[in-house]
Amino acid sequence: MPNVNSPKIEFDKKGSSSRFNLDVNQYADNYYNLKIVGSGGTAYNLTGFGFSGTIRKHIGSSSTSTDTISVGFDTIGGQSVGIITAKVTNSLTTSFTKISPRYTYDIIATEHSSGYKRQLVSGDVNVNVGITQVGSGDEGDDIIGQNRICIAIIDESNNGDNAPSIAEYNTFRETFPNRKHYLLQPVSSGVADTSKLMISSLESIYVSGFGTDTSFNGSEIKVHPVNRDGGSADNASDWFDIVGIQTGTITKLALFVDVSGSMTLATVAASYAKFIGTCTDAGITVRQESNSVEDWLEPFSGILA
Amino acid sequence: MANKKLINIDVIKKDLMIPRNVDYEQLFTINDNSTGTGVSFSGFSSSILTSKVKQNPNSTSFAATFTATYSDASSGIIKLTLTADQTKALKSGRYFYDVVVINEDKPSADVAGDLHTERLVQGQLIVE
Repeated sequence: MPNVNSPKIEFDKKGSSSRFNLDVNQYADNYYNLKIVGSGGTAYNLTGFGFSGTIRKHIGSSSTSTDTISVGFDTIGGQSVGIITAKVTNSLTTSFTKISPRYTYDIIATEHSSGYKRQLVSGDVNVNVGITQVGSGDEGDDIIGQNRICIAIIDESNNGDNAPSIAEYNTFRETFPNRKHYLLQPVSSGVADTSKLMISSLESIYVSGFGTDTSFNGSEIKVHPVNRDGGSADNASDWFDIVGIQTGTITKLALFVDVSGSMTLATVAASYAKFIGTCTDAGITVRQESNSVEDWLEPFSGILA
Repeated sequence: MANKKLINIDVIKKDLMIPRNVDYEQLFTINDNSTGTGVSFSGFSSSILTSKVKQNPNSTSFAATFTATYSDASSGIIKLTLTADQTKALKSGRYFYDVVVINEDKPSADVAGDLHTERLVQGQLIVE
């Protein structure tokens, strides 16, 4: 719920815009509820408006990756009550300098019907510099698994309909840019069919943990085929080798095996046993994740400590 | 990420005095501004605390890492500890620290949750 003590920001078509300074905790998510009121002091109906915001080192400074940072805005509780929430996320604050940590920001409101743009609010950004940065260190400091290797064993997701949405995938990549995600598809043919796991628009942005490796079939690997071994050790695939895990470099990884129906654990039982055994021998703990709706990303979208 | 706070708190600002060569422990109660009572961290699907110490906020290396745990998660009580060996390793002087929590709020088993990182405590640390 919005804080009843949210600062009131006057918004009308006359006079200068309001000023409100933001105190930002570096290496943390920061939220600011702003109550937008008209000249009479009553809630302003923001239906039909969009918002954008920037943070810069100083007014007039050029846009660079280090001194211009977007600020996200969404309405909560409905646009009609006139409350917007500005957010300065943890990932954005990592760009702030600790020396002279003061910036300026503004928020622009755009009325969609007319294209009319007006500065809604502006002010200073005072940064409380941070000490503890989650996910910044080596694996010993990686308390939420920022760098975790994530392996999904799944044969299909309803031709991509049950796969993550573009927005969900982008959120994952923004939140965990260093997590390597691998899709291993149990098939009988020996040839992967990416279309069974994701729609083409997702395929075009999906970044596989295999990266630019073209050694398998001359193309970059989005999805790697593995055997449907049916419990036969002779037919087992070596997932550990396929993913290319380097022994001694990690102590933990995350694994999701789809058991929703078109395949079960029995479909890949021998490969699974081989993988768990290899990981155990290599001193790697396997976090076993689950999802019952053929979503191959959700199991890796949270804390993987 | 949802566009709302998961917890409604003010950052606690507290400087700590730490003797060397002894075990050290410090408790904090994180209060919810809305209710005035301790924040229940046990309601999240996952909640992890972390706390580092630096001699200079701008330095890349850490002087120490607190062991940060919940003393009573449902009442918002957290505990920072350093062992005698850790306090011995610190040279006398002034340091900076903060405590950060990462909460995961997952609506159901098959739906991705929200991850929020929030600062709970900050201050200086004086090693005697």
